[in-house]
Amino acid sequence: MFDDLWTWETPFSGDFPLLRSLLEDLLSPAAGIADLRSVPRGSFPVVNVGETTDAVHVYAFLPGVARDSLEVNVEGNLLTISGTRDAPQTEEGVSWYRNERFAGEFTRSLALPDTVDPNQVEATLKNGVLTVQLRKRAEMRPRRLEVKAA
Amino acid sequence: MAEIMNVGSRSPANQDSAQGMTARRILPATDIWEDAEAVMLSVDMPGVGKDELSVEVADHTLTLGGRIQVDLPDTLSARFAELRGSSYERQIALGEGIDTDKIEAHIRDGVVTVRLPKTAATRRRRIEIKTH
Repeated sequence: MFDDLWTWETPFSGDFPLLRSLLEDLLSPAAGIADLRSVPRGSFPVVNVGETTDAVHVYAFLPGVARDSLEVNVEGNLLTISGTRDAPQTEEGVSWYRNERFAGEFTRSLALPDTVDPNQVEATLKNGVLTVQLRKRAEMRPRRLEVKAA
Repeated sequence: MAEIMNVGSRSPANQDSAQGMTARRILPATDIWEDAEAVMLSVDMPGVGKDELSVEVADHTLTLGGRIQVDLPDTLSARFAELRGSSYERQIALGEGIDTDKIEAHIRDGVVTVRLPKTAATRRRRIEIKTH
């Protein structure tokens, strides 16, 4: 009787192979091989990194972090963002229902392509997003070569 | 189902397509607490300014939406992205005891703070004990 109910002829079966491959993707050992400085989900802050021909752009999402409590360092090819985020100011005796937001001290380091010039770094903070622009070394930027007449 | 697959898919084609980006709504981290006068919310929406924030109340549900506005160079190519998406959305059921006309919201440094004052009937009151 249960054999009849437990049949694969359900709409579910159509999506199952796809679901399984997504799960395998997530759980396979290869998915665990990550960068030395990668962080688990939910870490603070999350970071996006992009590149143009002449600079590396790092975007760190730091909502509620004031400029004074934020520190950005470049040492060699290592960019370190650290600081403190305060918990919301509450009176005593409040009831908490959810506390998902990180509070406290944080440090996050990112390995940059070693083509970056540590002396040409600009950092700006706006609406809780820290943008760090790191110029690539001159010799790494694309150049136009002049063709000389022989 | 199509929408779920769009969000879950890790193929680069989907991430980069404009459609994939608009379909993706990030669930922002939220703190909720209650004091004697009000229920308070703190919601992380980095990259959202005052003009990109929307706060709506309908059917005892508060909806917070924010579009991420970060200036990116045109020629930027992504190396990796831990935050994927272009907007935030979070809905919170308010229940009956909130005075929806007096809700206040503000945003600072990418954090939305919402104050939901309680109606007089649901406020905690201190009752004076009389002596005869």
